[in-house]
Amino acid sequence: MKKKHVIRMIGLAMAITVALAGCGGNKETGAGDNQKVESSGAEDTAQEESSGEEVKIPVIVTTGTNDGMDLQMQEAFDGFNEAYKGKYQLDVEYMAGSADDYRSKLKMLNTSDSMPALIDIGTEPAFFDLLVENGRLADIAPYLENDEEWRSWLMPQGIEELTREDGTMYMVPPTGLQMVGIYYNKELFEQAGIEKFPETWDEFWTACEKLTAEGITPLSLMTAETAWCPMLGMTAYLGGSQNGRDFMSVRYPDNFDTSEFKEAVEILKKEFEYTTADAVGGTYALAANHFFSGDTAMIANGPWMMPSLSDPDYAPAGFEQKVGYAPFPGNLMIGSIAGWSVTSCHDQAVVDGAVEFMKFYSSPKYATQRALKSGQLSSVIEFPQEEYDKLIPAMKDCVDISKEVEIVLPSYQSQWDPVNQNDVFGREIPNLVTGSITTEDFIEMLNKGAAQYKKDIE
Amino acid sequence: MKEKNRAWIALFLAPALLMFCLVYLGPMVLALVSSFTKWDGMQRMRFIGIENYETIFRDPVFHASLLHTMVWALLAVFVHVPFGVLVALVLKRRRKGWRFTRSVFMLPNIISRSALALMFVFIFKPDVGILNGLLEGIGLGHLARNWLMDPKTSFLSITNIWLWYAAVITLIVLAELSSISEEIEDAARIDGATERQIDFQIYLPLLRRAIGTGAIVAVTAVFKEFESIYMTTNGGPGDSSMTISVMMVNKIIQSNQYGYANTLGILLLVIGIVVMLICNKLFRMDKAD
Repeated sequence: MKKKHVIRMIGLAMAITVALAGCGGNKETGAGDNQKVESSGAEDTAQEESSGEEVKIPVIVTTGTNDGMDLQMQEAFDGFNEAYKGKYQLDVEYMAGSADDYRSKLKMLNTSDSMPALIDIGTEPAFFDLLVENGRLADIAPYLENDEEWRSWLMPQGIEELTREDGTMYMVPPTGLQMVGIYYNKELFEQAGIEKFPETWDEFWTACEKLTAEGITPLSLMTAETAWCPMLGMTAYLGGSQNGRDFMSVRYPDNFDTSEFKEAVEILKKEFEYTTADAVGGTYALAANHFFSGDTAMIANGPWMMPSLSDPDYAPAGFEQKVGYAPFPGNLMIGSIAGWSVTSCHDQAVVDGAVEFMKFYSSPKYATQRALKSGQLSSVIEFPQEEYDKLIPAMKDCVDISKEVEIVLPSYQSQWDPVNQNDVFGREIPNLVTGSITTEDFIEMLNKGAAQYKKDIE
Repeated sequence: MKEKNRAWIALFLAPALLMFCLVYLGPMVLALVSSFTKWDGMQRMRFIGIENYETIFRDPVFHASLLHTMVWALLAVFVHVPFGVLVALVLKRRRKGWRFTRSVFMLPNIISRSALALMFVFIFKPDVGILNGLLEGIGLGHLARNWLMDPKTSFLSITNIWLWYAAVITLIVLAELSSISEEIEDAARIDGATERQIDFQIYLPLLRRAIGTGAIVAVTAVFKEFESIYMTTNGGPGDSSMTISVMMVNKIIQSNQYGYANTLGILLLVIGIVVMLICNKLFRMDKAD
């Protein structure tokens, strides 16, 4: 009798736990195995039609964040579908959510080898490395080698950086670089008697004091996800010294216990003295909302946010005229070379179609659009000066400062390990800035996180 | 005839058993096997013996997660279930407004846990949250804080998202109460029993198995509780609100550590079995009344 109950209990417990176990299928894929015809789940639409009919290319993009790059992408989708009617058809799935949500979805789809044909891994090198090691991405290099026209549209620095030692390339080089700076509300600055955006960190803190004295909250910050806005400020400070820049140039650093880094952590803590009450635990959307509502005077972010400044869903009418865009103190901006990748989990016709789209997307027409609307400024394609006067003030600033910026620092998201980004930043920065842990504790956690990551990839 | 019955029984059981094997048992075996491997969900599993288990038992995040999971299990049994039973006993009396009370009590159960969690985010918000506003309104402004991001209060704040919503327990108990003959209550009244005596000395003992079932339902629910944490603190700040299920999902989504995550799953399964056996024993589920 008792035995029966134990069995019943086990059955019930299994039902609970298996629901949590999250086991993906164990499909083995060898490196370079890019000829598979595999499709399942959400990607059923990717049933490749290789019998001379239109080839469907599955893509997922985020919507709702009003990211300038996503908006440009959507325009390019429509243009491509029109231009390649009868041959290729981009089958686009729009998902609501942030870039983090998008990458989480990719990771889930990846476990069943059912990712869309085109993916934007963004600045998450560990996930990218994992996909490359497992042969989940198509090699772009052979396509580029045979296409001089396409090569000529892409940033040479991007081609160089994304070409691997063995000559392969798993990320399509971008046509330009988006450099992250600080958006500031000129009206609020004027109200606080600040005439121009601070050029040094001392001036920056003085400006924060002046704003606070006027009852204006200086900074929009948050701690959720990888604490993007405050981490930008912290790493920008780090980039102010040569040692700091050397540190930022290391991929997956394993020792955060340096005097420069300690100073930068103090800056991170200081940032939170000048922010909203809900910044600790808050999300990017919340921080951005404070800026758009005029509750805060500054937010660090990239030029992809430009379209939101004049979008009535985000900002009040005329808001874009009040906003300026500046480099971080020390004339420093942050930018990492990243691009879209083509997955190898579909048949060759789909891979070819996806690559064809990337060429279409890189063409001067769309590269110019991206420069104008999302600040992806190209070193290859001339910026259309005749359009300059039509730009919103912040975008004009973006174009101007990109010519004069002295230091371009890689983003921490593209350099540091995922254990620290995901486990330590989001969960421990709240403790750090509220004084529950010390700077030393925080640094020790980062070192442990880096060691953990090294162990994980062994 | 008996042989014929067996064939029918087997026939009717077959679809359920097949689905069980496909949907639960298969992944279960995979989880168990992969718990002894290093596996990123893509490459071939690499056997590493009990290394995952050793790492987990040394991991301070797991210690915190285990503690929180067990505290929730205890709260489920000793607060959530008794509260649900109490509401059922009150509703049974059908006093004025009982229908309204029942509807209001059931309402949170038709709201998804994610939506409920988001509502609580606004209740606990440090600047414009209802709770802090209320505290300031009654002169207790000094107690106001960032409830979800203060390591001292984050876990208890999240606990409130599920603790008081015991409608399922109430339904189970109400169903059992309706099956108890009214003659028993009538006889007790004739003998001079008060309502409290009827509730605690007659109904409660008769409800033992229903309460036991409710306790198992509640404990299993908190073991798999995920959304309320993921939508609010994601286990933080630090590990102050981490549970095994959140830790498990984070290991998969953030770092592709399927072997490690499945080890956590297996441990959760074992803990689940132990807790359910305890519940079984506590409520003497196998004994007839």
